Amino acid sequence: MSSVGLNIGLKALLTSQAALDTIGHNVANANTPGYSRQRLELSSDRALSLGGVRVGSGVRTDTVERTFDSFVTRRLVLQHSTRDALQNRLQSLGAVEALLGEPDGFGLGGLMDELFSSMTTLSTDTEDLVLRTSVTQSASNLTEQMHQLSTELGQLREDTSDKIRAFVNDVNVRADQLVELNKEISRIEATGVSANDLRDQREEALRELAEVIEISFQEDDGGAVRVLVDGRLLVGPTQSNELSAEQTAPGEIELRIGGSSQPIEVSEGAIGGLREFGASYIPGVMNQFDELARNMILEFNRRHSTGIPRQGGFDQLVGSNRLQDGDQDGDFRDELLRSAGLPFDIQSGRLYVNVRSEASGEVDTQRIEVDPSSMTVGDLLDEISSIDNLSASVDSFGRVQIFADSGFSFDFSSRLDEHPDVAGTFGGGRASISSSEGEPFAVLPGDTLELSGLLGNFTVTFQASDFAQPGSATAEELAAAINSSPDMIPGGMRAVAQGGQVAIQSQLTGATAQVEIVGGSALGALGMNAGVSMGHDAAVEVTMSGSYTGEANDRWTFRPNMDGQIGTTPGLQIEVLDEGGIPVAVLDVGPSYSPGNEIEIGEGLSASFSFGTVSATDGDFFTEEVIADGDSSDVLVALGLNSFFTGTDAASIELRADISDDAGNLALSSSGAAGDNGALLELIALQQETVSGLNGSLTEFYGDVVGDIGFEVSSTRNSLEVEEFLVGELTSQREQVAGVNIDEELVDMVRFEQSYQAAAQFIQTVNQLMNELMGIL
Amino acid sequence: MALRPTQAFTFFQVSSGIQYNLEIMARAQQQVATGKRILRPSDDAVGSSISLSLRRQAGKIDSYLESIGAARPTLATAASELQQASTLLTEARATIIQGMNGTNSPDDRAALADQLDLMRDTLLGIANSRSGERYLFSGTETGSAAYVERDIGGMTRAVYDGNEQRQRVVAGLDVEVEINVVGAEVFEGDGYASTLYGSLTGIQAGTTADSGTGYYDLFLRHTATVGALGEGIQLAGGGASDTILGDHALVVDAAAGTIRLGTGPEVSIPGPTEPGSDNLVLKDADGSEVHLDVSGWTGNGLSTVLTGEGEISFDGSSYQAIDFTETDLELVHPDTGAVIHVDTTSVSREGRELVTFSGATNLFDSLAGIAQDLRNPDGLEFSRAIERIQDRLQEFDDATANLLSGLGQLGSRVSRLDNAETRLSDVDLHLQGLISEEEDADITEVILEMTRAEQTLNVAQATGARLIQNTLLNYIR
Repeated sequence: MSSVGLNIGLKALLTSQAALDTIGHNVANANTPGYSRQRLELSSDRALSLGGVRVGSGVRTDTVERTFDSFVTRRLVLQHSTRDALQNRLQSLGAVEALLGEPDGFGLGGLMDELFSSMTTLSTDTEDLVLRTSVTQSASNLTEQMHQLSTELGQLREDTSDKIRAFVNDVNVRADQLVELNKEISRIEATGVSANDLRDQREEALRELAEVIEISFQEDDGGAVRVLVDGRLLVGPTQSNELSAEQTAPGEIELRIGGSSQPIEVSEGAIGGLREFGASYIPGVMNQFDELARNMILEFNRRHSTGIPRQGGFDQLVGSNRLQDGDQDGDFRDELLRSAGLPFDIQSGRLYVNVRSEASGEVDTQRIEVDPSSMTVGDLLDEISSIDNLSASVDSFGRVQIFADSGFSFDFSSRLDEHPDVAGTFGGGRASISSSEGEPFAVLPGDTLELSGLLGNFTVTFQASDFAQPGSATAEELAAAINSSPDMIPGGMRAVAQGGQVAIQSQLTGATAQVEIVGGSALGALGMNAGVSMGHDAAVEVTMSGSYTGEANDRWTFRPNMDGQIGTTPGLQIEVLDEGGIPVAVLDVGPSYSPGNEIEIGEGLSASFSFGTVSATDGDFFTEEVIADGDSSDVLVALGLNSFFTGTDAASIELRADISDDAGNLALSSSGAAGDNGALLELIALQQETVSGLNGSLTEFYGDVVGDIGFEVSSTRNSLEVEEFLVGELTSQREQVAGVNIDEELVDMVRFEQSYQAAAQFIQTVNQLMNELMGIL
Repeated sequence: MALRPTQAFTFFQVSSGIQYNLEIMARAQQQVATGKRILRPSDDAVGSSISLSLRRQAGKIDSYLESIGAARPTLATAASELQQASTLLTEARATIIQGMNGTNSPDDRAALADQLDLMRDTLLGIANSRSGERYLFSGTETGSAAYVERDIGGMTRAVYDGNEQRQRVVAGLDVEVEINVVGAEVFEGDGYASTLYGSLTGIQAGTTADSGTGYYDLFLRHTATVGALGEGIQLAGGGASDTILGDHALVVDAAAGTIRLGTGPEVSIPGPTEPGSDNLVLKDADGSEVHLDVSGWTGNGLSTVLTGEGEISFDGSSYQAIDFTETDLELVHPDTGAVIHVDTTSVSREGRELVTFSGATNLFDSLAGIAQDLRNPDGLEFSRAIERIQDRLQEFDDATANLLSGLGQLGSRVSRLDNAETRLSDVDLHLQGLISEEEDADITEVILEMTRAEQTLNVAQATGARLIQNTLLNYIR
């Protein structure tokens, strides 16, 4: 009996000790992350049969159990993935937000305001170099800020990639750690013992891994955990596969596991958050700034390219954008404008070129129809070169350059030709017979024109070689063909083309000058009448004034309604027709008109006519190009001619170098007059104009970008708060089950201390019984 | 499941509670320190979007205000220049009136003419005045003087060399204010109305319209006198000194011994030996003269017609013969292209006729012309000269009225700018208020919040301290 009793006592002593050890272990690990409270499982030992009585044989320790809730633990691991993705994203977003410098007004928005403000101030005195310089300074500040934004966003993307690579190393370290733990747990648990602390460590390692990368995991029968990333095995029971990162483009990182060819996708965990940020969010923001810069370049250049600098028109211009030789034949000229590799699109439209003679101040306005899908670079250059005193070419870098002859300058402004009737086809001093219709003329090869000159009658016969398209002749072709007749010049006559119409004139001026058309088969197609026209001593001087306020480019043709004298003949009117032949205005120049006074035509323009004789019979006319936009084709913007900004995006936008060197080169005048600020006013109006590429004004677009970033940051912060709360909740749930409560442990400690004392007392009692028995012997 | 708090959880709760409240306090402190509610766009994404757009609006208003500020000196300078000009013109007018007084001696008039020339030069200086580097009155051609002097037909004239464009500045959304007046509008008449002739020679306007600006001299000169004379009366010197043009009756009254040209005064015929009988000057009522040698007069009566043949020229260099039946002769000035049509049927004498393109003359040429008339180099009868001056004075007054209206325009633009400025300043103030409402911290509210957080923090700290102190250990020996 004593042996049984001592045995029971000993087991009780040992059990209490084991229980106290477990309590000690719990208390010691109360603050160990991931630690699960352990409990000694006790049961009563098998009973012994002692003389028919079954007597219990004491306590038995079964195992040390971990208290944990596997569901909560698993959710907690995964929740950490989501939270850390958001946390890393928020950190990076905060950096982007800080870059903007808003809303304090130190950001791009304030600089844009400053540029417009300095331009508005300049509008009061466009010649002032100090004010001009303040505009160029503001523009440079703006471009610098753009560069800085672009560079810093690029840097941020770079940093993000670096962080991802660091996290990838972290993943590999943790994967190895997990493999080690897997091995140990399997080895220990093969003996039938639960590897409690190792399992806690493994769970903690899993949680830490999940913080870095999105994982799924499963425990196998052998107690090892398998960790998958995007369906691929990262951690197995005995070995891990290495995660590798490779940068394929700035900000774009491809992840692979174990040298697999297929890259993996992760969206959670620090790596998931950073990858989305670097590969998609930053490029998105950069794109928006590039879009802003690009539209700024486009819109500023559209308005600036048709302006005229302080010192007047250009004697030469070189484009800042390069053409590309698409077919690699070493020749830029054969490329279609549409596909010449220019950074901005060319539309179908018109380019007006004004050439001014410095000596006489006379301006010759020519227009070029630009169709990017049929016109080649060479066609355009030829058209420009065909204008008197201009030549255009491409340099070896693919930049278009235009030169004016000495004594001439050119521009692309909407300036008004104040003296439109240079040829004198409208009551000029020369005898003159004009066509009554504009081009194209249905003149065919073989058609004739019979004229009477100083040396007698002669006939001009048109040849097929005179025309590019027989039956659809241009005024220039006809004039050239007529002038090439050997009798024309000696006969004291000349043909001129003016505004798409053709006129035959005497070389002399004055009342004695005369031209005569005798007849010919081409008369009908030319819209000319046979007859004699006389010159005049008093030539009608036409002067246009005002500035055109119409929306569209147009060509106005002025024709008298009858033969008569300005200011004298009753009923004499001048009809003004637009390009489509629709009347714009009818000007009354009969007896109620005092010659030389201005008559309002409309659209901001007025005309004055000095005294003289006009003839409807002779087809008297003149044309005026009324220009709303000197370049409706954007060809100047595309070629970078007379641009304001150069470059194409936020990283490359610059104020044109020679403007920042000399603010006088700012092209702000729309008429060439030094104090004119027409082009500048258009630039200023850009501040509130809706830019088609941005669905709003420049500043509104910028405001939207900043607003979006703000929203992104605050919504990410809100999501993070929610995630933090969830993590907190789960942690609290886990704590409730697996956490160590010291008081609870102390209570247990007191309990087992007492049970230890009781067991000791029991042994002493058994011992006493034995002694008593021994004493009897 | 029953709540089973653990030590780790309790500590976490306590520390995160304290953290949370400290965060609120730190944020409140930042708001108080900067005075701003929104420090980053994400602090209030909606609010910062609104405040950004408000700031852009305020930026626009600022630039309008700046441009108004910069435009005002230009307008003020132009107005003060025109003010001076108007004073000068009042003075000039008084001088002209003084000059028209018939009691002045030629020397007096020459002195007044000199004064007028001086005033004209001063006025030209005003028209070409500058604000900074810019000419004020030459339209947008601000780099060159408004008026330049040109020599036209032997006369120095001021010609407008600017353009008629207005310089505009932006003074608000879709509000543009012109900041210049154009010289051609303030120093000149309203525009050509009709051609006036000085009624010296009897030339009249033709039927066809004319065109030109300013003043011209039309030259008519006598070349020969023809007509049937007799009774011993001959042309003196072959008629070389005569000034008649066209037909003039010559009547000798034998009984009274007088001779008369046209409607001129009767003149006694001197005896053959009396001095001057070989060069008797007869004047018609229009002042035209014939010089006759009457020393051989027979004493008989005579009634005949003398015809002065002559030439006409617009530029003073190329002359053409006058056809006295021409009612619409076209004359073109080769230098300026000015065209006149004249009726020569009533021309009766030679002379320099003043041609005025009324309404199209400028103040400088008016003053120069009046000074010229006062000096009277052609030796016109002074009453004629005064008629000319009166014509010119009318032109002068018309142009003066335009200058005053230009001054008025400048004044009204200054007041437009003032109005715009006041309105913009109001809007600016309003915007600043809105921005402040959006961005600025409400200090009272922030402090309240801070106090609340502070109290919560204190409570959290107190309860936390109590909580973490309580452990069984305190009671187990």
